[in-house]
Amino acid sequence: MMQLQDIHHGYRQGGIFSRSRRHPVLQGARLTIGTGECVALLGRTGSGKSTLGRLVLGLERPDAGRILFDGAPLTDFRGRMAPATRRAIQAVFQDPQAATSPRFTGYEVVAEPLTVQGEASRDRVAELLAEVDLPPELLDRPAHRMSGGQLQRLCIARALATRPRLVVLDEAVNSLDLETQARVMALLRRLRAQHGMAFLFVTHDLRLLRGFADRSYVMQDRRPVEVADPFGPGPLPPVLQALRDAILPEMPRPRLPAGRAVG
Amino acid sequence: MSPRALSLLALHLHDGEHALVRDVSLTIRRGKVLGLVGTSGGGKSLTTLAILDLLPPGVKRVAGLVALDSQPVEPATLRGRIVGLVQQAPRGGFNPLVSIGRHFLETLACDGLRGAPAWEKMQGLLAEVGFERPAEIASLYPSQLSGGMLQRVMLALALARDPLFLLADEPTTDLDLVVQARLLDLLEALVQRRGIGLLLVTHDLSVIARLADTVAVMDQGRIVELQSAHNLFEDPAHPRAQALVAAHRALYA
Ligand SMILES: Nc1ncnc2c1ncn2[C@@H]1O[C@H](COP(=O)(O)OP(=O)(O)OP(=O)(O)O)[C@@H](O)[C@H]1O
Ligand SMILES: Nc1ncnc2c1ncn2[C@@H]1O[C@H](COP(=O)(O)OP(=O)(O)OP(=O)(O)O)[C@@H](O)[C@H]1O
Ligand SMILES: [Mg+2]
Ligand SMILES: [Mg+2]
Repeated sequence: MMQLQDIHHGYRQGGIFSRSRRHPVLQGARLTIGTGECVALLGRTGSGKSTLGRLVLGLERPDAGRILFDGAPLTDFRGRMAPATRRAIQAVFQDPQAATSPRFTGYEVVAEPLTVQGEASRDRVAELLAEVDLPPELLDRPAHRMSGGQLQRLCIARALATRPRLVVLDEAVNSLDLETQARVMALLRRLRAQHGMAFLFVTHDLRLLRGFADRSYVMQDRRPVEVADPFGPGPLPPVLQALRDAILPEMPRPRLPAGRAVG
Repeated sequence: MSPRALSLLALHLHDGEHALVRDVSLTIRRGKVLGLVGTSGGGKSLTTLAILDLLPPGVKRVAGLVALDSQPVEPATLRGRIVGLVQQAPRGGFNPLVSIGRHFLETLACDGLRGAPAWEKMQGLLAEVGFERPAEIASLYPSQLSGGMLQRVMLALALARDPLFLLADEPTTDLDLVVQARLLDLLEALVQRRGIGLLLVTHDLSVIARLADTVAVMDQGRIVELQSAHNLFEDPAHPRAQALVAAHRALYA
């Protein structure tokens, strides 16, 4: 359904007046997402995961390379997407504060994509809020009066509202408490089974992938590298090995008596 | 003598219609880590912000006191020099029009540090939070950094004035596991060597397991459980605490 072919992309850095050079982020990147498939994208911080997500959403155009959706270019020569395609691809961003207008109420945020299709109603929106464990009180609360995790779930509800074909989830469940996180993951699994929804699941928490991702990529040297089994014996790309080695232990280890400094 | 404990006593927060935080008391001790976990929307961030009188508009403190070694203090006077803060949404803490370097220089100037010594201190702080080329980061603007990069800059800024206490609201959520491990090592060193008192707000119980001495569990504006980290994992008492520990265990199943 979605194909990234030989993508190169970078940014100019520094202030407007500083001598700026282009800082390469993606070089020769390839990635495919099949219909109804859940594809995980892992990687170190700053490795280009969100950048790749923005390209898949058509928010930026690659410096070079092709992005195909159902076999046709994702954007036209002006960088615009067909309205149907735009509706078919939704996103939940890493930073929910930046992704919502602070004065919008819970209802307005979630209803926005539905109004285009004339499907918005308070009952429908309340249903969507309930799916992500949000109480109906939030329908009338402005976004800037919600907790970080409430706002994040509101963004998830909005992205899922139109039952799109592909959802880019950029570190979307990181800031949720573990019970809520488990329920949102279960909802995603259910939607995938019912609607054949596909996900590009960007995360740094490997623990979430088990039993969720069909295929996994890890950002290594400015491109996604596919890994057959992120939890298998390997050999693994060095980045993935390092991420795996850094998974924290499950339980507290016995600590030194209070007051004794280490090192 | 420098203070040993920072306490919040009987905090009540209200939004005009509902109570948001009810009768919350916490004590952060130098050289110790107090973990704060709980349901999303339970009141962790508002409690943290109340310690420095940084509540958002619409939220009122109807009761509650902040004290250093049981001496009541004006919360706003603690900011920066005595208590550092890492906010949950890092982007909101930065001025988008000002480079990262200038954020540091302005903060360091509060203590009279300018010029080359300020520049050096900034580079040291940025290196401490894991940037290999600190000078490059200093020239960038907030919008040019990834989420995880901003979160680390925020921590470096909070440490710039060598505070005695640090309030860290989800300080590692946006970080990859390698950087997270490194930052947790750094926080541990600050607590053990420099004797910082740390309030660590997180939803990730593995971070709690790694660092916390004591843990408070918050739900619907109240603290429903307060006990040693060891006991929380071995024998959670409140149903909410039990559910959190069970969900955490499931990640490792
Ligand atoms: N608008 C921009 N202008 C300049 N540089 C940018 C911009 N956006 C991203 N970058 C740079 O591109 C690189 C990749 O950033 P990106 O946000 O894609 O990383 P990421 O893998 O999502 O990291 P994280 O896990 O921390 O969110 C970083 O070095 C970042 O500094
Ligand atoms: N500015 C505000 N005005 C009114 N209510 C608010 C405001 N900010 C937060 N709230 C409400 O107060 C409650 C506690 O919010 P808080 O941000 O402290 O939760 P939290 O425990 O930090 O949650 P999370 O884990 O999602 O970050 C929530 O129900 C939230 O909707
Ligand atoms: Mg990112
Ligand atoms: Mg919070």
